[in-house]
Amino acid sequence: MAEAPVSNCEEIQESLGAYLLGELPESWTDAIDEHLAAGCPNCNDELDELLAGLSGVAAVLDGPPLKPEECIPVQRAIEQRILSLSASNRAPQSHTGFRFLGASLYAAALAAGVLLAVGMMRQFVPSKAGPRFVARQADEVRQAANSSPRISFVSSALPETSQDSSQTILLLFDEQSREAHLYFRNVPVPAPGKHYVIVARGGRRQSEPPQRVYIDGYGQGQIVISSIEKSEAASLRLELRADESATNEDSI
Amino acid sequence: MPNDSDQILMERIAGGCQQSLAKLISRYGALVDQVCRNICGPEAELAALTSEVFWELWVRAERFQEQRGSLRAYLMLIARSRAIDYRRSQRTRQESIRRHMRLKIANDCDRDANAEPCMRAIHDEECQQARKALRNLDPPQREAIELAFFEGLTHEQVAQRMEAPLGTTKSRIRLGLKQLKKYLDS
Repeated sequence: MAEAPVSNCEEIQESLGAYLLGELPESWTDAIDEHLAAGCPNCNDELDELLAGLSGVAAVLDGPPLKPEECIPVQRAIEQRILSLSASNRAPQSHTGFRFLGASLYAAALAAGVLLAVGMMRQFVPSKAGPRFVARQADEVRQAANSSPRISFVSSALPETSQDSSQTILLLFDEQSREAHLYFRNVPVPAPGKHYVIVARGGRRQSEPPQRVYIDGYGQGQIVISSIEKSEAASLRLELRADESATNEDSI
Repeated sequence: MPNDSDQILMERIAGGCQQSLAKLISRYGALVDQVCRNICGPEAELAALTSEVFWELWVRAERFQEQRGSLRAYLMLIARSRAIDYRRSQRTRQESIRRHMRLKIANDCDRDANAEPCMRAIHDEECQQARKALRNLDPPQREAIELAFFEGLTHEQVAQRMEAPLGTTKSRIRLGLKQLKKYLDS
């Protein structure tokens, strides 16, 4: 393909298919954008024709509307991402089903690109000295947490059997509310879009009440442990289990 | 324009309305799933891919202009792009991605019982007309379109698969889409 962008209507119209599919070099795409925006009637008509044809192709592939329970995993995943963009202009949304993190903590973690995930039937040992400590991400989180006077980074860890450094669990501590916030990121679960039960052990209390956590399609999830000391939080052991009590409505 | 037309819903989404997004997820979730399934295979992380597509719709809602194509086509293009990215990443990570996908066109138009009857009827009619129109295309045009949009091949890959020159392949896709529009208009 020539390096020079398309320059006339014939070339542009011949390239519109590839343009729609995003297969053109950026310089070509920019040139076509500019040409179309300038209002060339023939090329705009041609594009409209192709788009109408594309709509027909899409209709061939289209299927029945999803049932409500089929939509909710997608909605939940998007809700979490919307929350992560709380600094944007979009209006805050209400959520149910599990507790969400405080805005300042959320912003601190997500400013560092930290997302949430979890593994199943594995134990995690948050420990600064852990052999699977993810230093790069930990530094990012620590730096983000340090920007908040009330948030402190405690530790991060990987699933014990994982070799994938993106599969991380992060523990932040809210000094003001005395809450431990656990973020799970990119740890595969056999069935995303469901609730799981997480059991935290360790610290003076030895065992926290099991908490339900929703794991979305990206393997993201989060929980908050209230009324806990920082030292206790640092010694927690976590175990994730399938939520046997979840009903269909619960697990969507 | 109906209160829950695609355009109205997109305007609401641009204003931050998640309920409107939920309606579109219900309406077009099957399309997105099917596009991703065709391109990536049933073993792919389809729920995550679908979420990714609708997330992109949410983020880019303000840029959507229905007059430059239907939302259905817009979503199909986004899904195709994300699915190709996914397939590429999977191929990089592991060599076990299947190379040839068997096209599965959802033949049943068994609509959700909760869908509004009017919208459902329109949707069904559009589906059937589009399938009929596609069947009426010249076989090379139809094959080129199916490879490009149902299997997610690039123009070059379509040309290789069909053992045809790249220019011919581009023309087949372009003329096929235009012909499809004519059939649908008629």
